[in-house]
Formats: sequence, structure tokens, C-alpha cells
Amino acid sequence: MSFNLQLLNLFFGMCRGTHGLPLALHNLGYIPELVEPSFNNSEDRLVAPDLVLASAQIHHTVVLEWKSGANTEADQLQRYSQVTPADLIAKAYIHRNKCETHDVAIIGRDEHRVRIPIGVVDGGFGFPVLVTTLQGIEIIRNAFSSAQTDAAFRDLEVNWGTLPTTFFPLDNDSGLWEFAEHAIPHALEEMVKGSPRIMLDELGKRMIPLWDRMRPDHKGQLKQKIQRVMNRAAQVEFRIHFERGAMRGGAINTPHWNIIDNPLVGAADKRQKAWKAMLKKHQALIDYYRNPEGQEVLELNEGEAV
Amino acid sequence: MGVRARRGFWSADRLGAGQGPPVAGIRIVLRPTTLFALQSTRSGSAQFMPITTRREMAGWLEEVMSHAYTELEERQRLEAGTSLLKTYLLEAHSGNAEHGDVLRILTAAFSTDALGERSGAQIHETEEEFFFRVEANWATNSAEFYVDATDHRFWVLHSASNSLKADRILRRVIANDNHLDCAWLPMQLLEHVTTMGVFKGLHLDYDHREVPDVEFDVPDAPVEYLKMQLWGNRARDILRILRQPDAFSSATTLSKVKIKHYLDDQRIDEAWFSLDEVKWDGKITARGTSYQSHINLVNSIYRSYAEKVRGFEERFGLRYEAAEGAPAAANAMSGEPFNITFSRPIGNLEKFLSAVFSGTEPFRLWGAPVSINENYFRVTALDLHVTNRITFEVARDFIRVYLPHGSCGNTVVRLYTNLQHYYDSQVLLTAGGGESLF
Repeated sequence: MSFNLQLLNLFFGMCRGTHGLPLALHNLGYIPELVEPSFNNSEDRLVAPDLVLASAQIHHTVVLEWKSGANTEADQLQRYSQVTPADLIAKAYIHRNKCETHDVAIIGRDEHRVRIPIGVVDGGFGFPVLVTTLQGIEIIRNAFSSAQTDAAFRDLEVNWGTLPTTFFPLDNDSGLWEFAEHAIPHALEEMVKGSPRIMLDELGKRMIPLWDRMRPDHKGQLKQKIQRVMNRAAQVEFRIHFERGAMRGGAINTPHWNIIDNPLVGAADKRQKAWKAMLKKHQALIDYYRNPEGQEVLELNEGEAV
Repeated sequence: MGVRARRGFWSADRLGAGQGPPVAGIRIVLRPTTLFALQSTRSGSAQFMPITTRREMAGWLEEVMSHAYTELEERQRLEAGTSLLKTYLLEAHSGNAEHGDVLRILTAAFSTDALGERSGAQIHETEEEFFFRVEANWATNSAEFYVDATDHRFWVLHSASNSLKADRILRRVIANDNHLDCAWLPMQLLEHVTTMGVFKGLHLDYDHREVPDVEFDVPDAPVEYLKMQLWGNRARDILRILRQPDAFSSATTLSKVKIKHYLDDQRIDEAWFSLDEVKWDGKITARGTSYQSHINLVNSIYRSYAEKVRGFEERFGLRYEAAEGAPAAANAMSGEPFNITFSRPIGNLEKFLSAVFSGTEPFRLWGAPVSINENYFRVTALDLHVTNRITFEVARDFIRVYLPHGSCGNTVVRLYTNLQHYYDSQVLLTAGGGESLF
């Protein structure tokens, strides 16, 4: 899972009080207000943090920017320094009760703990700088202006091994096996509804949160990955159930897969057998992408093989 | 065949001019139901004009209840062919259903495609909207059901047919249909039911063999199964003893409770009551003197259940939405995962996952578990009850459950209730921060 997805899922989980994660942020009433928003600061320049958390309980907002690389950008930090509560209220739509005070915090990786604070120090900014460590998250520079928030981030222990993964399951860095894992249940859901085809854009919407407001280049990369796993499924594991739809000259001008055999509707005893077979096929598809070297030819269903 | 008229409770629309309510001394007892059907006094099988209204049904079912009560009181057994009243709580997924939609769901659910070969069914519409009579047979079983779908989602089915046969047919219908499911009553809800009347007894039913994640023939193995019936007022004491930490706390699962439910305050009127046995799968068996008392209890239980399920969907369903007053681009997420925790770690994760996510009864969850690491799996699953997506993160000592917006809260209640019966009686369902949900 990418650094971005790890932190998004971690903060969503912590704010929701998810089992297995520290409860400090949840107990302070923080909720994730905005994911990857963009709004203008008091100098009318754009800022685009990764996440904004806010608490009505302690009237404080935290604007989070994380960096998977070693460096911060001076211009970006300067823009963040000009974000005011008025901007948060008027342009980021945070309730005024939640942003009487605020902090901008920068989070980097442990291996960049030396370089990541440099821009903050050189710019004379007071942003708290944090790094992810094997044990959790650690503040390495400055402090949050809210003492309670600062206390919540001190010695924040995180079990990275059981991090939530479902709030935001996929991004451009996710493996094809993860796309296969998520795409097929959606495709089967369509089959149960009796749909004649599975549309790529519909799959994307259902698999990936914030699909409709995603940047076109990001969306394009995600579409490619979905298309790859669906094409593979249509050619091999699920070939008796759906096939790649023709685009050029066809009635539908976007990528899609036509359902050609649907055992998930009809007599109950046949459906039950079909679900069992679908489970094997789905597992085979995931295994193919997780371990393409070690593929075995599995007999799936009366002469089908992968 | 001795056929007699149902005892004469008065009703404005049934009684001719000059007739009136029975008067007993100076106290007039007004009964809440109007009863019109005719019933055989010997066989218990209905000999009547087809029931076409809920009111007529109530009258006939009260006769069934009271006949069964008298039989059991006087003879301690039911005559052949006589049966108790069975009420089944069913959850249907039909969107904003119209009468015709309910009819279509029933027709499909009782069709040969669903029930299988050697089956047949007739769905009769009645004088009332959302009220149907179903005659069904499958193999050697036949049964009649009255379907009250007044609440388009939380249906109530009644039957006076043979219990075994009615159960078999309905179980098959539910297993094979993807609109219908039982209302699953976790044991906390059953315990709550015991406060709705005079407690009379309980059943325990725990069977770990359904999720065989451990070896049962080793010295420290957990309890394999524990089933027990306890009738009488001391049943609660036994339950308390079994739940002691050094006894069988993780294998003591309440599966059925029996209560005497009065129509009115018992101190005011003891005459009208129902003796109800409420089972964890939403089946309620009744006898007694008052159908109204029974249906009041049924409605109370169903209300508690429905509030939970709807509340779960509202609070936990994950959705991405704009902040209040903000343009759509300013997205945030609402909802949160459910947390399930166990009293002991899962023995063998892979076996556990394979049992729970095979797509078969009782869990009806379908999904290919993928390992994130050795002790942590994710399952992007489908609930085969309504074919909704639902995602699970499973570690040795907890499960996180993510319900997408629009998915059915029943899925979570079914999983939780079945884990109580088939895995760990002390399993907990909590919200963020550990708030207990039952």
C-alpha cells in the first residue's frame, strides 16, 4: 500500500475510533473533513493538502500534508503559512466552530527524518513535522498549537501490520492483484442484477472513492489497471461468463465487457454451484497477479483451465 | 367432522341489527379482534371461507392459539394435526415496494426455480393491500402462510401448518432467494425479550463445529457444542452459573426464550395472554388466549430489531459526500466500520475464513480472502442474501466490517448472531471507541 493510502486509511481509522488503532484523535472529536481538497489561502494562492481533520469538541483544525520523498517545497510551505481560519471557513467549508485555531502539519517517512524538516526550519515556519516510524508516528520538530492535539500525537503507537485498508482501497500504486480483488465482486454484482454488460467507468466509480472528482491523468491510470485485470479475466478465468466488448464500430463507445453466460440468475441449485465456481475463479485471478511465476493450471469447470 | 362457529366476538361490520356485545355483569370486556372463521374442533385444520383480511386472520389464529393452549393444558400434548401458531419475522429487500412488487417477490421466492423440483405454490391476493396467503408444497411438505408486508421491508408471516413442514419450506425459500432473509436476533435482544413478559424458560444452542478452526480432541480444546433446555423460573440461575468465567462463558448462547405476555397489565386482567417462544432466527411460536397479545409482542420485538438494522445502515454505511453547504468537490466521508472482537484469538485464520466466506449457510457471505500478512486478511465479499458488497479486515482477535452506503444492515446482524452461535458466545459488536452495539 502506498504511503498516501497508508496515511489516509490510518487517519480515517483513528478518527473513527477503529479497533486496533489509537483512540486519542477519536476521543478529541476529530473527524476527517476533507480529502485532497484544494482551496485558496489569504493571498489567493492555491493549497491542496492531503487531508483536513477538524474537531468541534476542541474547536481545532489540522491541515495535513504528507511527503513520501525527502524534501518539502519552499513555495508550498509558504502557501500553507498563509492559510487563516477565515480561509478554512469560507473556502474549505469547515464549520467556524471547528477552526477557531488550526495547525498545518507535515508528515514524512522515518528515513527522511533529517531532510524533511529542513524546509520548515529554513522558512521559519512553526509547522509540526512528524515522521512515521516502525512503532507509529513521532513529532520530530515543533508542536501543535493545541496542547491536547499535541499530546495525542506524542508517542502515537501504530500497528502498521493491521492498518485499515478499506476506507481508501486503491490508488495508482496499488498492485494489479488488488484491482482484481475489488473488480470481480462488482462485476458479479452486475451479473446478479441481470445486467447485459459491465462498464469500465461504473466499475471505477464503485471501486474507488472520489472517482468523479479525480484528476483525469490519475483516473486514466486507474482505468488502465481495471481494464487490464478485466481483460485478463475475460480471456482466461471468467471467459465463459463475459467477453471484452467491441468499441470501434460497436454501439457502446467506452470500454465494457458483455455478459455472455450468467449462471447467477435462474434456478437456485445451479446458482449455488455457480457461486462456488466463481470463488475459485476469483481466487485464481488474484493468485495470477500476486504470483505470476507460480501459476498452476487449475481445472475449474468442465474443461475450463487457467 | 364437527365444525363449529368461532365464538362470537362482536363487530360492527359482521353483526346484524339488534345484536350487541356480550355483557358480563357490569363489566364489559371488549376484545380487540373480530373473529369469523370456522375451525374443525378435532383436526385443527382450517375449514373456512378463505381468509381475505387481516382481521379474519387474527380471529382464526386466536382460535388456533387457544385450541393449542387448551390441548396442552389438559392433555400435555397436541392432538395429531393440531399445531401451534408460528410467526416468522422476515426481512425483505424490495426497495420502495408497491403491492405488485411484493407479489412478484413472493411469486419468485416460492417458484419452482427457488424451491426446486417437486414443488408448487399458489400466491393469493386478498382484500387488503400487502396481505397475501401462500399455499406451498415441496417434496412431502406442505404449508400455508399468511404474509403481512404492511412494513414493506420487515414482513411478518403466520402459519398454523405443521411446524416441521412449514419450517422446511420457509428455510428453503430463504436459502434460495436473494430478497428474503430471517430477522436474526442476537442473544442480547432475546434477553431483552424476557423483560417483555413473565419469564418461563430458555434454550441454549452453541455449535463450534460449523467453524472448525481448532482441533476438538486435544486437552485444552474449547467446547465443541452445548445445547440445553431449561424451563421454569430457575432457568436464569443456571444461565448465570454457565456464564461464570470458569464455566462455559464462551459457549453459552441463548437461542430461545419463553415468556408469558399479557395483553394488559397482569394486575388488571390475567385472562388474555400469549405464551410465546421466541427463537434466534426470528421464529415465534405461540399459544394462549389472545392473538392480540402475541402480535403486540411480535411488533415490539420487530420494532427493536428494525430500529437496530436501520440505525446501523444510517450510522455505519460508508459514503463520500460534500461537506454541508459545500460544492461537490469538497468531499468527505461519513460512516465507520463495525468492530467485532472475540474472547479468544482465532485458532486457524484460514480455516475460519474458509468457513465464514464460502457463500453457504449460515453466514451466506461469499468472498476470496487475501492475506495482507500472515495474521491479517482482507475479504472483499458479497452478501448472497441481497448480493450487496461488504468488506472485512480479519485479524486473529478482531474483524472490521465495512458496510458500503446502501448495503443491508441485516448482514452485520446475521454475522454477529451466527458468530455467537457457531464460534464465540462472548463475541462483541462495537462502534468506534468500543461502544457496544447490542
